[in-house]
Amino acid sequence: MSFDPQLYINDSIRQVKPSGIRKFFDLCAGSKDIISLGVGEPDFISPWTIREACVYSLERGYTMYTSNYGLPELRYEIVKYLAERFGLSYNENTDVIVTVGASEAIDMALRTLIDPGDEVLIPEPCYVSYQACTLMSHGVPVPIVTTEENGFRLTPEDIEKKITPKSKVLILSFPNNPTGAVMNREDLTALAEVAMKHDLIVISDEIYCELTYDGEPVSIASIPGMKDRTILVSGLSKAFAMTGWRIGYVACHPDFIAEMVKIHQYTILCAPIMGQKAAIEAFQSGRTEIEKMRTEYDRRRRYIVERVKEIGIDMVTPEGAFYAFPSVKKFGLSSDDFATRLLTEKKVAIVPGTAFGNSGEGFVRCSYATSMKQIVKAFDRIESFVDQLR
Amino acid sequence: MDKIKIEILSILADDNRTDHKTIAAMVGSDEETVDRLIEEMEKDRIIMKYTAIIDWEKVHAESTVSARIDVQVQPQREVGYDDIARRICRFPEVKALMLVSGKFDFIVMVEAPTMMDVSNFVSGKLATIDGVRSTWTTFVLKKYKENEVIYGEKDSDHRQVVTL
Repeated sequence: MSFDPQLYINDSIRQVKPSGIRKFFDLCAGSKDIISLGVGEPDFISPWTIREACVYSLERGYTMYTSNYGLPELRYEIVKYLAERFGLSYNENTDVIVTVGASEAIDMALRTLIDPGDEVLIPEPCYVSYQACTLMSHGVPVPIVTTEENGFRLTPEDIEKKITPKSKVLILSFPNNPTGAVMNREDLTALAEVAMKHDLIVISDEIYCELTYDGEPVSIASIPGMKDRTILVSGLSKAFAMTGWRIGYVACHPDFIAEMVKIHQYTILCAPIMGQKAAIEAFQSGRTEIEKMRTEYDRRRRYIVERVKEIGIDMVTPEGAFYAFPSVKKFGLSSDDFATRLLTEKKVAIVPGTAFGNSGEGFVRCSYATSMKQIVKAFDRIESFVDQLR
Repeated sequence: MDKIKIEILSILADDNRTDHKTIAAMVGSDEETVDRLIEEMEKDRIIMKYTAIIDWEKVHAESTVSARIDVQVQPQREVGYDDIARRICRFPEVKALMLVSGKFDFIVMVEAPTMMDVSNFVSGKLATIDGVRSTWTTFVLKKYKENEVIYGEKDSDHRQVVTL
């Protein structure tokens, strides 16, 4: 009898779909002159002072494991940052784990909370890992569609409609990838009421929080009554341009941490010490660099908003992260066809909205984590493509 | 100064070829306003000149020698350093001039076709100015970084073309 590996794969892994952008990689491969608005990471290199801190730590021989929770100095910096920036008070010894990116923190949080069959409310369109991690934890993902009409913000009514006795977790990811939507204090206060009323735990992915362009970022954990029931997930990837270092963190109630650290301990042990050393430097001296990058993203964002309007494409003004999420509905193409044709005919790479859930149909994600020059060129090409379609 | 003017200046300082329409979009204003503000700032000599940073070594056609000359002077009654500074500035070889603290009074950045030309300039023109007490010449051997640009470094993007 022939050996069939497929027979051995478990159902929950089988249910997880591979990422929908493989096709775009293949189309880009070997093609020159492509301008990519498809990248989900900063175009800036980690500031030199941060890289230098890592090099220095290697020279001094810091190549060992750290505490499962992460270096105490780094946890101290994280707690200090959360206090200064969001007015939150955590204990660095009991309430924080340094993780391998925010992604690991999301996985750990879901695995810690979900019993088979528990429902996880996931506002869509959204980053791809929430649904996958829910399935891998044997939970049931329940998408909540956010709409253009509401500026892709999540409303209490949207949540209420999806609540069942099995609802246990609500995932929030604002500023949002791919929509660029931001929830202000008022919006979050309204959600907090629903979360408390229905006894939901909130996993709040705040990885893009520093990239908020109008006003100061707000964490749902800072809304009265929410701190204990919020698992705050964040990291250094986006704000400090440190994606490849894989340093994130989770801050929450010590009882959750005590359970999560078991997963972390037995699967990861600890985040790499080199990244942790760099992260300490980032917190201590990276503020100016964050501001510089934020200013630059903001200029690009404002340019795109103007340009998209001028070309005659509909779009909700993005208020955070580094993504614009225009609607392509009026051009009579699916998001996938629009993105594929734009790439093959005009050599501009963008991501179809459907990569972020079915509700992304009709939209495309344009990342502005690329230089102003490239953005101008890309939109010249988009304009000529759209003119062709009319 | 207006926030918008500072925004415009920082965009131009980074890339002075950015067109006014793009600048207007970037700062959330309209093209006419940006035209007007830039013209104003040119008139007020806030924007003094638009220039390019060139790696002349790659051109080979025109060789130049750069040197930094530290100068000690005797400041003069009533005019202090300004009078001597103005005299030094007038020479076309002088690319930059600064009054500094420390052992010397001025740093003079000079460019000329050959080392001999620099040497002639220092001994014949600079050192003979009334009030100049001593000069100390340092020739530039190689430039690594100028105006925030690192020589010989290419803009390269190592990121994957599409990521979520």
